[in-house]
Amino acid sequence: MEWNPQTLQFLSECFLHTLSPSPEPRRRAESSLAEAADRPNYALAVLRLVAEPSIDDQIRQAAAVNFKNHLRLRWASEDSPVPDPEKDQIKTLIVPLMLSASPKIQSQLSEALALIGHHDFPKSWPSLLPELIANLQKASQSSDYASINGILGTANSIFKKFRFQYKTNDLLLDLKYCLDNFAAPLLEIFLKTASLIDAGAANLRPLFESQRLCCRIFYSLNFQELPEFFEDHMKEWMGEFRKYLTTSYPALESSGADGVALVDELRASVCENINLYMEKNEEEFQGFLNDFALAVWTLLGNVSQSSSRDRLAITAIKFLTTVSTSVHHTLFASDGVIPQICQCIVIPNVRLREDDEELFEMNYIEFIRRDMEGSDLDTRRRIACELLKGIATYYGDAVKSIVSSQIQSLLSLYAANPGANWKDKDCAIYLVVSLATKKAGASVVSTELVDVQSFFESVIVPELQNADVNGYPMLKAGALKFCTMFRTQISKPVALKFFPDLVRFLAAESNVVHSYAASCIEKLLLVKDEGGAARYTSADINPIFPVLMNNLFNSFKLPESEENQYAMKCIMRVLAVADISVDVARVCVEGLGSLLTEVCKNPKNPIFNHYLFESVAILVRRACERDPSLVSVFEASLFPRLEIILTNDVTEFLPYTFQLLAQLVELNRPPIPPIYMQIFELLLSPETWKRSSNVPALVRLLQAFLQKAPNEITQGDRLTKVLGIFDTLIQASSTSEQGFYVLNTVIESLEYNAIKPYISHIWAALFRELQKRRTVKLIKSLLIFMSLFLIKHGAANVVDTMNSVQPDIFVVILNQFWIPNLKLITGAIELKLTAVASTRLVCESPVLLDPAASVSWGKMVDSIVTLLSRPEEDRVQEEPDMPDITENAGYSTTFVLLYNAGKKEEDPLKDIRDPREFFVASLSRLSALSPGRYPKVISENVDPANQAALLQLCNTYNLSIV
Amino acid sequence: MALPNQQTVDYPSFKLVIVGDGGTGKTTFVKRHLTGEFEKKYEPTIGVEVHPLDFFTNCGKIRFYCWDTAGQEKFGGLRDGYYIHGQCAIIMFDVTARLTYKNVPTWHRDLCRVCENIPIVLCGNKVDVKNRQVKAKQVTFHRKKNLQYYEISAKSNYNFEKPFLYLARKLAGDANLHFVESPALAPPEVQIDLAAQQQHEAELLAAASQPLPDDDDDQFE
Repeated sequence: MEWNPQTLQFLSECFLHTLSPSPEPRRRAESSLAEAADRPNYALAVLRLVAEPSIDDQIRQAAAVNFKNHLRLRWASEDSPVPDPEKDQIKTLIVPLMLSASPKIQSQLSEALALIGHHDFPKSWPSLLPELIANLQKASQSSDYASINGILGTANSIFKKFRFQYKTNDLLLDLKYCLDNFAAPLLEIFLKTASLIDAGAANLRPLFESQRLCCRIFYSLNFQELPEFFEDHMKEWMGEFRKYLTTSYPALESSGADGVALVDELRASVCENINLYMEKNEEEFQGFLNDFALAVWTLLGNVSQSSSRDRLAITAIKFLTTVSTSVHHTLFASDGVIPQICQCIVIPNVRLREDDEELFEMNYIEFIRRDMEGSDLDTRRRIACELLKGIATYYGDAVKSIVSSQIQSLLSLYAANPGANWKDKDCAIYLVVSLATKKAGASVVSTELVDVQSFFESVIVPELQNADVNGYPMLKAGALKFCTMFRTQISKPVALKFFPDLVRFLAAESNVVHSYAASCIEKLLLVKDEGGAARYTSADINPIFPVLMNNLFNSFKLPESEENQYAMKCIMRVLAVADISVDVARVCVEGLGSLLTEVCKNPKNPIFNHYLFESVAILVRRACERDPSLVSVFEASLFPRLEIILTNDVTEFLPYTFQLLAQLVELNRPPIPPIYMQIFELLLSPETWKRSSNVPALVRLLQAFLQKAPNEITQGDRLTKVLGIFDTLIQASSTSEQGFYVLNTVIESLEYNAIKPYISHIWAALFRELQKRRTVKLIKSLLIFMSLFLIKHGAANVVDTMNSVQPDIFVVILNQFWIPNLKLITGAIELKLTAVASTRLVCESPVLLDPAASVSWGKMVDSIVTLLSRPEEDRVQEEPDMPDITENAGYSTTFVLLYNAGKKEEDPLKDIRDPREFFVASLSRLSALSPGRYPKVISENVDPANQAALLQLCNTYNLSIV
Repeated sequence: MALPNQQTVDYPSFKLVIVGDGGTGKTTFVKRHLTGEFEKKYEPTIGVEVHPLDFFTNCGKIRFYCWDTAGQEKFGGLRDGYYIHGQCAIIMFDVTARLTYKNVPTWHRDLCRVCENIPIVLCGNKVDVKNRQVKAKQVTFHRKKNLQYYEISAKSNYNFEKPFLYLARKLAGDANLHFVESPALAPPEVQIDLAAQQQHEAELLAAASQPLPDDDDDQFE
């Protein structure tokens, strides 16, 4: 691409049109630029356009961005890289251009420069650092801070890699090169700028930016270790650092929020640097520590509560926390230090601000996240309490007494004038909760720093018993939070006394207050006494149950709490504990059903929705446990809602719906009502199974039908379709396990005569899959199926039906899959099933009892002993199946298990208590029929260790193999 | 400031840039507002699509020109070239894909390099899906950079207007500004006059002339 007026004109017009919101000119321009980008010297031409002063600023900015992106894509590209001669010219031009550019363009060129540096610096671009340094010195002589800051910004970008990359020889060599060249000029410009600031320069803004950049570069160059140059000049650096922490700059700080922000950013950078030294170079730093600690806490006393100053406050407090937990904690031992820190730093930073009140009222979910759920990293409140805990590491007693007196003082202020000083009480509550917890949000509670019990009785209980649930909502929230955090420590009689108050607060207008009340009640019901029994039972709940449930359901009518997940979770918990009478069941299912109708219109809150379905499930389960006839009540209420979900294809709720339907099927006594068979027809439709998120729930429902309506399923072509579903499921590795669940339930629930015509097709399908892929998962599923078939319908039927598909295939399956893989079975029920089935094979089946099959018989016994006598971890090498990598792009739902609708796993061998005893007893009986035969086979084919294990099993059960 | 070929309207209008990884729901979010359509099938945006989006407020009508940018690298077109003259921005990530949140600092840095000192909202999308990978409590980036954070769902319209309301308030300089249904139902209480908007834009421009911003540590704790 030639550089001439036509090129200038062409590129200018293209870049101008890229700013157009209209698609036609913008896309045409983009297309032209993309085409031009393939021509040699395109980057150079664009760079020259950027440098052309006669061109409009917006065009030049667009060109600068394009230039940077072009380099990012092509500088080190395999195909169509920037040609080397063009690269050389760019390297020659870019530093002076960057230095003379306006701020927006400068930032792009600086980034482009850093991009080149990332690939080429320092080895392929040895002239860069010398050029930057030469320009830095030249700009310094003329006090040209636009250029100085451009250079420092570029250096900051280039050196940033030293902060977080692993310490390798290459990195250290690069670091040494940068230190050797740049450390001295950095100090030089830092000190020069400092002297200009001290002299009271007229325009401080660029000077402060310069110093901040120097601090960031300092951080990068010192991150890996303390370089010799910086150790030698520590006094100069630390002297200036301390100055910025201790000096105020009214010319900047009174010029508006951005002026304060500029000074604060510099101070925060200084705090990060001294914190780095305190953490990593504590020995060298200790000579300066006293002065810095004093400077930082004096500074903190002057930082206002505005959220725009949070970063400085947090960074500074972190430094003090680092000191307080280090070997230099003695700084805090002097008289008056801890009280002053508490009064001037901790209390002000814990105190509520307008921002907090706004969050409380406007975005209550974010408030709760921060206040209760641990999302308060890097907030002032959290950091201030961490400081206090840090000091308490070595001065626990002092902290305790000082905090106690501070809390008393705060409470006295509140008592004197509640309307004006309610925030003081909130501060006291926050301090107690925070200091008494070892980890934010955790339930592990210590009472070392604060006397929780007396605070609860004197401060919290009166707040809870206050009649006005809407007065001082943030105090109510604080009290409720206190109860939640200390729910284990509060004794049951005391808790029961204020329980009705918690119920009252469910009606509070504040979203936070009624959410906290619900959360507190819910968590109280989870408290366990020693020994694991729940502390609170239905007897405790029943007296207040009506008003509790009424308030919970009414809370959804409060603005912004239509889908309050805390209240819904509380409903679930209460239904899990309370006694559920017929009347209760009717009212509750109607309330939940109404909510279900509402959320079906537009699912928004997955947590709320999940607990809604869990509540329905647990209500159904617990009510029908007491009164099975209630299932018809639930059907009448729920079916219209579930029908809406199915008819309108509410995809998020389908997995829940199928699980609820399964629960209802299971609760029915045969024969099930005709309406269920209509649902069954839907279940058989292939369309229903296409969404993978539905499959586990559909399988669950299908299993329920097989168990409760076996006769209905064997009519018509229903069984054919069921087995068609099985066949489809086993063909995909992600659903093959589910397919086996269907098959196992068929084999377990239906009469043999009904299944018999299909068995050959079942085996054919299984063998087909076995040929396609031989995964451990598939083989284990097959073993479990064969075992279940055997114990349900006899070994002879297994052998004969399998061999009818292909003569003698059973022996092949036995020797290649069953015997070698038996030891891989996990799970108590599965182990028992496969062990018993294998035992019956070796003791009953003519295939193995034939003398010609002695070796196989022995090998099977060997496998059974391995399965029964070795712990799971010894005999199973977990070979993880490659999971299907699902695309995250686009929208998709996922299966979520409904815990309360979960089905208990059934043991198909209830009459056999101990599979080990069953095994040795069976062997013993078998051997008695042919004395002397089996010991010989065992000694020849069973592993010696397993022979010993078998002998031990015989001794355990006082049996013998003769 | 009028952009080339921009249709001029007689009420305040702003360029809103929407950025974030591919597949996070940026286009769906914009289309949801424009037409009410929810598109389940994922088609990557190529380059940028610009859609005017009007809102009615108690201070009168306002328009956002939504520059819905490509999130996938290979369809990026001019990438941050589309951010120029941006007056506000939304950074979107997908709460079901952890990587999209990890990339938020990169989007923020590129955005701030082009548009300094503009109001920005961080949005976690797809919160109506149960299998979220990024828990709400893990989202802290907005706090370090003074952004606002909203959890949203383009599908269920959960919190769908809040990012726009926040940006409108910031741009108008009125913390009490709120959306109304239409001017026929609620006549404007206060008028944003165009001169004030131009003054605001001038102030933004002046703020953008500040020295080179530092790319602070973007590491997550």
